[in-house]
Amino acid sequence: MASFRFIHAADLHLDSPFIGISGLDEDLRSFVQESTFRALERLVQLAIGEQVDFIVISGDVYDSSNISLRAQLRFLDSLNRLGREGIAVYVIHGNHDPLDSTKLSMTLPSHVHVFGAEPAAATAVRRSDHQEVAVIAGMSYPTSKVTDNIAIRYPAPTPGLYHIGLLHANVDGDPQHETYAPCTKRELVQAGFHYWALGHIHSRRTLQESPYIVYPGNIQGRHVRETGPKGCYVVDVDGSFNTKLSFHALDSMRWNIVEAPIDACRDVDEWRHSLESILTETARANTDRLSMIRVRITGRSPVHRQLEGGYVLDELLTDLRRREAAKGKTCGYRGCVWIESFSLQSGDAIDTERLLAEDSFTGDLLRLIRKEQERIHDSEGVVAKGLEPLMEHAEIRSLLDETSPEEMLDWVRRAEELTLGLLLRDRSREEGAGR
Amino acid sequence: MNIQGFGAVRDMSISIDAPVTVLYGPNEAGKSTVLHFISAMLYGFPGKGSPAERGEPSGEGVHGGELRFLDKEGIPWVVRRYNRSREGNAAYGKGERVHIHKQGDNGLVIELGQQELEQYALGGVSRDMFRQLFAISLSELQEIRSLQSAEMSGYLFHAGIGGGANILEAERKLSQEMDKLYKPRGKVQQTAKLLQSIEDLRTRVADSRAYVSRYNEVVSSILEIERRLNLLEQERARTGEDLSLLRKALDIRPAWLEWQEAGVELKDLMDSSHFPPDGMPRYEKMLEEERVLLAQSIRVEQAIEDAEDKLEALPVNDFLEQYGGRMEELWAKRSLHEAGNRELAELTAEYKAQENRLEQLLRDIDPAWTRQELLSLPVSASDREEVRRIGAAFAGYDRRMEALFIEQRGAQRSAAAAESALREARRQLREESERGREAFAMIKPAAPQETAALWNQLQLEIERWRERRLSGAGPVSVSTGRPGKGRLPRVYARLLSGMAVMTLLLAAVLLWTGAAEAAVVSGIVMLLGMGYIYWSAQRGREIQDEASEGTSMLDGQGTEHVDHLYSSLVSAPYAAATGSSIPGSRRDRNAVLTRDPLMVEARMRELRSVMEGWQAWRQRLDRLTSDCASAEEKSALQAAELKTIHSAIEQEEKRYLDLERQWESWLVSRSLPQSLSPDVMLDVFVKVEQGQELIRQQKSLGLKMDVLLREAEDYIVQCHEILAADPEADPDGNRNSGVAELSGIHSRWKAYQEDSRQRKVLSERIQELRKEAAAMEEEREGLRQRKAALLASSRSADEETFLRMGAAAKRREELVRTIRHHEITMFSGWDETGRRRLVQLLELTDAAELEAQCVEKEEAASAAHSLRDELQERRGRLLQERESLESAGNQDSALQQLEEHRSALREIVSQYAVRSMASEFIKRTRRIYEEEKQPQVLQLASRFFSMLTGGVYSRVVMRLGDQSLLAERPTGELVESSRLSRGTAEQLYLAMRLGLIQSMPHAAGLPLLLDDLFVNFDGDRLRHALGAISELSRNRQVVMMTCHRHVAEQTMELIPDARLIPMQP
Repeated sequence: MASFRFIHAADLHLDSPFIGISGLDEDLRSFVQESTFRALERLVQLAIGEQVDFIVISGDVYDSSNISLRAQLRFLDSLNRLGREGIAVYVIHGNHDPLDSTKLSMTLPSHVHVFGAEPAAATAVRRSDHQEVAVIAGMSYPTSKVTDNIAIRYPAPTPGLYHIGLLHANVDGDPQHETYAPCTKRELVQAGFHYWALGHIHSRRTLQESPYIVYPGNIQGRHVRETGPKGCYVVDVDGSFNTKLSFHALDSMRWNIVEAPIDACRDVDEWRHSLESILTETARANTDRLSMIRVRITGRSPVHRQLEGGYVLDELLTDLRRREAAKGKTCGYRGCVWIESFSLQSGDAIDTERLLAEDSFTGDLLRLIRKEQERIHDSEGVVAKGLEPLMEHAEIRSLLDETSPEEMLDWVRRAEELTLGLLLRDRSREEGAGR
Repeated sequence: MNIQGFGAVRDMSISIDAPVTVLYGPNEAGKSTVLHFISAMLYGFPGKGSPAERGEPSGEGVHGGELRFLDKEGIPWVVRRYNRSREGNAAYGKGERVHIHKQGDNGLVIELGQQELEQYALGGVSRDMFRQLFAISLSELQEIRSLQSAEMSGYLFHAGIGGGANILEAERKLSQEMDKLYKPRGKVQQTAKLLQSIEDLRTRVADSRAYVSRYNEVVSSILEIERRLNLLEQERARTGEDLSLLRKALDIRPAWLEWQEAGVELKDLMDSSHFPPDGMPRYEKMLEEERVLLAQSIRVEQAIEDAEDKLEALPVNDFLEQYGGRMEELWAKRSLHEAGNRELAELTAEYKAQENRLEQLLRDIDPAWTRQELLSLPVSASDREEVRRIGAAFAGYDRRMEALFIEQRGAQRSAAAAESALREARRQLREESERGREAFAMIKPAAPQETAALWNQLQLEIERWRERRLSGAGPVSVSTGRPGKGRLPRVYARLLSGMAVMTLLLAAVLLWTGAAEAAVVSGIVMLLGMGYIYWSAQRGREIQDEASEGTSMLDGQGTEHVDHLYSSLVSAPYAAATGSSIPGSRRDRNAVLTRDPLMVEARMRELRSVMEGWQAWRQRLDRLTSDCASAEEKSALQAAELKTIHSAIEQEEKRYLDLERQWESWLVSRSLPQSLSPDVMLDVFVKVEQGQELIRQQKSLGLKMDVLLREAEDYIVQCHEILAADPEADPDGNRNSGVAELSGIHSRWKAYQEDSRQRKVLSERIQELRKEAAAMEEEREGLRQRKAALLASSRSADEETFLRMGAAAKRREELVRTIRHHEITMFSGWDETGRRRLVQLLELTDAAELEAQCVEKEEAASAAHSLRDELQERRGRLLQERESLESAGNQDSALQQLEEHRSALREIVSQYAVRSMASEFIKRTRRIYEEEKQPQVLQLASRFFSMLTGGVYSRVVMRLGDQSLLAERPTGELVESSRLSRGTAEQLYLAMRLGLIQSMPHAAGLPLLLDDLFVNFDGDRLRHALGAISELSRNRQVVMMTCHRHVAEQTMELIPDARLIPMQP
């Protein structure tokens, strides 16, 4: 058999909005918005540079079922560029861009093969000599919700050629992601394909190596939960179907969560210095891309109260962002660090255990909070009661509906800290005076 | 309790150990001060903001004191507190000097801090709590009443737990922050704006969602329009084709009609197919040629006749024919002839001039000379050299003679000079000697040597004399210069003889030179000189003789001898030569001298000076004598020289005579006049040469003249011959003027020559013309034949037919051309089908219909055009829309902005949620307190209230809604606290406090301090109150302060354990 090389990419999410960032100026916004396209562009360049024979894209080319005009035009443009180089493209559509979404009415170039709503197979050839090298099976989502197991309906492999299965699915039902096209790893292994080119899960992972069952992850991180390098796999297959994967990062903007503990800090300035050094370190580690970071402020120290007090963090954030935006304009945001947000998880220097045991208002309060944490979704609970006024507005309601339980818990925790801070202010002051 | 200094109180010690203690005293006794003191001791001095409670003494002194108490376990505590700011002026807090200690179980004293004090001794009751619950004055009591009902519960909690105000504050702060963040129906806050913009952005996002479908629509519209445009374009092309056909038809219709007509006419035209191409022009050309030829031949005939006539007019002349050549020749030589004549005349003149010059030359040389002599004289180079040599010899003689004469004159001059120098020298000598003789006349000896000898001798004698005189020695023998006697005459003799010789020589020389007078004079001078010398010599001998005589006399004897010498030397000459006086005195002295040696000395001195002068004179004389001798010598030399010169002159004279003789003989040998000098002879030579040259030239001139003469004669003869032969000439004419005649004949000959040339030309021309005429005839014949052939070729019988046929052919040609022209105009650029269609159309349709069809098609075309424009415009609009959609799509950031706004909103929401939750938590906890802890307080309070009011009111109730306090009567009637009377309200509040105190488990045992609370109580209620206090005092100390006697008395009365402590200001 002939050796060949292809690229496996998935979840391009072209023109996806970037969630959770705010305070962008025009330049940075356009840089951020452009980043998915930039990753696509790098993908095209990589394909040309590595002289791959074809590219497979395992679903979610576009971001939402209402796909932007820009995304489609840019994708078409990239396809045309690949077509000029003679690189074939095999595409399935996933839950974000099912076949019934609004798309451009256009005839696709001949080198692009988009799988239909039923499982089918196509034969890929090598660019250099047009020798048939692989059979690619796949199926696009007809609608955004595909809940049956489609993998088992894929055409069975025939001996001779290398078989690649394009599948957009949540294998083994990862609870962190929506479960579409459910199937199990076992089923995939048994299907007899050489390479399962999966999509849908945005974090890169290889479920198995023989046969290869691979999630390449998306090509550009889009929010703070999609951290780390993002890109695609270049897959080399030799004459005896030995498969070798090499990852290539394509992202021009990388998400990170850093921790900035306040424990050792006596005042805000000290903490701020430690934060600066963390930022510098991050910038040094990512010199040719923009770093989007969330700063988790952890630990316990009196500094917390100043930070929680509001304007300190706001000013710091505005200040750092302004600095980076100015720097970014000159260098194209390479090596810049943009703080997505501060996540205030620190607390005051309070011995909560002691308070918890105390027969006092604060003690009762803490006990109440701990109790309420158990039942945050209880409509009679304190959390629900606290959120009640917010629920009046549809926009906020929808926002709150999206809020994860972890976030709710975080809020509760912050409320606890806030309350304690307020109630114990005098006490600590008196204690201070006493000392 | 030991108050060292607090407020107005100073150094007061109070011991309170009874369960109930009444501090009774008038106003300003220090009751309240005690209250404040206890508080200050326990919790520290309050700030300067509350001076009454701080209790700083007004004057100097210690601020502070000591408090001892037992805690509930019976352990004694001591608290000492002094305000140091009195001393050190330090800040609040630091100014305190605190000393707290308690005694442990084992009797040890433990130092403790404020914190331990509050925690262990005071049961965790805070300062405020203590002040509001345990150390109550009327103002604190009424604070409860003045509180708003909403804060009531907070106050209650505050009373019940620590930090109640904090809870309220926290709640207020949270709600403030929440309000700032979000209000459900607010419009102003950031959130509202954010929500508004989110809404806007959603609309925009929805709009941009429509981009894709709109884009699809636009693209399909564009495709549709392009399809329609294509169809339209085809339609338009067709219409355009038809229209152009119609227009063309309309256009060419007139041409087409003509074309048709021409075709018909062509058909009907006579057959002229045999008519040769360009037959007519050819025919016409022939006619023309014929006519031209005819005219030419006539002209040629005429020309021949003319030429012949002219030829007749020119006759032939025989004479001129015959002699013409010679005449011409002579005419040509005529100028040569005249030139010969002129030259002859010139030569003759020159010959004569040369003759004259020759004669002149001969006369110059010698009047007797002739040509023959001239020619015979040889003028060879050797002759000339001879003459030149003799001339040179003469010249050499002259030169030498001249030089000798100059030399002679020079010698004579120097001889004269030498003579005068000699004379001068002698004169000086003579003068000098005479002067000497005069001056030294007293010196006796005449000869100088003698004098000198005498002098020497004298000196010697003097010396001897002196010696003798000194030593008495004998006289000195003196031998004088006697020998000189003989010598002197020898000198003179030699001088004399020399002079004689010289004189002779001089005379001879002078004679020889011819200066006889000079010789005589010099001879005489010489003789005179010799005479003198001889005389001198004689004289000298005499003198010497005298001197020797004197000397010998001196020799004779001593002094006398000297004296003698002296006198011989001097006196005589002196006496002879000088005046009377001086020699006299000298003589005297001499006389003295002879006797006196001193005199001798004096005389000797005198003599010495004379002798010195004499010696100088002698020297001068000697010099002058030698000068004289040298002058004489010179003069002799000059004379000898003169003589030599004379002899040279004579020699020269002799040579000259020889030369003279030689020259004369030479002249004779050449038969030349004797008077000629060699220089002149040289000139003669030149002239002879010239003369000989002239003779030669004359000869050659003579020859030339002969030749010229002969030529001239020859020429004239020939002229005459011709004139003689001339038939027209006048026979009697003057033949001498032949040459003049010749010109006339020659001009006639010239004219004749011209005529004969013309004649020749004419005959040649006639010849040519005849040939031409013949050629023309030939040509005409050829033409006739060609014409016949032309007619034959057109198959026409005669010329008339030919001409008709020609016309027909021309017409045909025209028609054919017209047809072709029309065809070209009509159909050029049209292919065969187009042409066919066109012809068809023209044949089938008339003009009007064509017009109508054309209009119709044009309308259709314009309609299609406008439709196309419209479609294109629509397409343009759509393309633009597509482009703007693309760019809008490209620039669209609404979704991203939406997400940003949402995340900003989320941030706010989270903050709000956190605060809302915190607020809710506090609220809930408070409710727990209200619901679970409040009833116990209220129960206690109800009991106290009932007790205080003596059962008028049964219960205290807190309403949960607004948390206001209500008093319940036993009937169940509820009265709001604000409606109660002042006393009752105070009782209510007191009841509340007492209830609270009792419900606080930590504060058990803490004493209760009541500062005159019962002023508004009536007697019954006071009793009830005291009863309650009595009850309270069972488990805690109660201290009451009052200024009212009845209160104090009643207390003492009702409470048996009470102690009264009176206080005085």
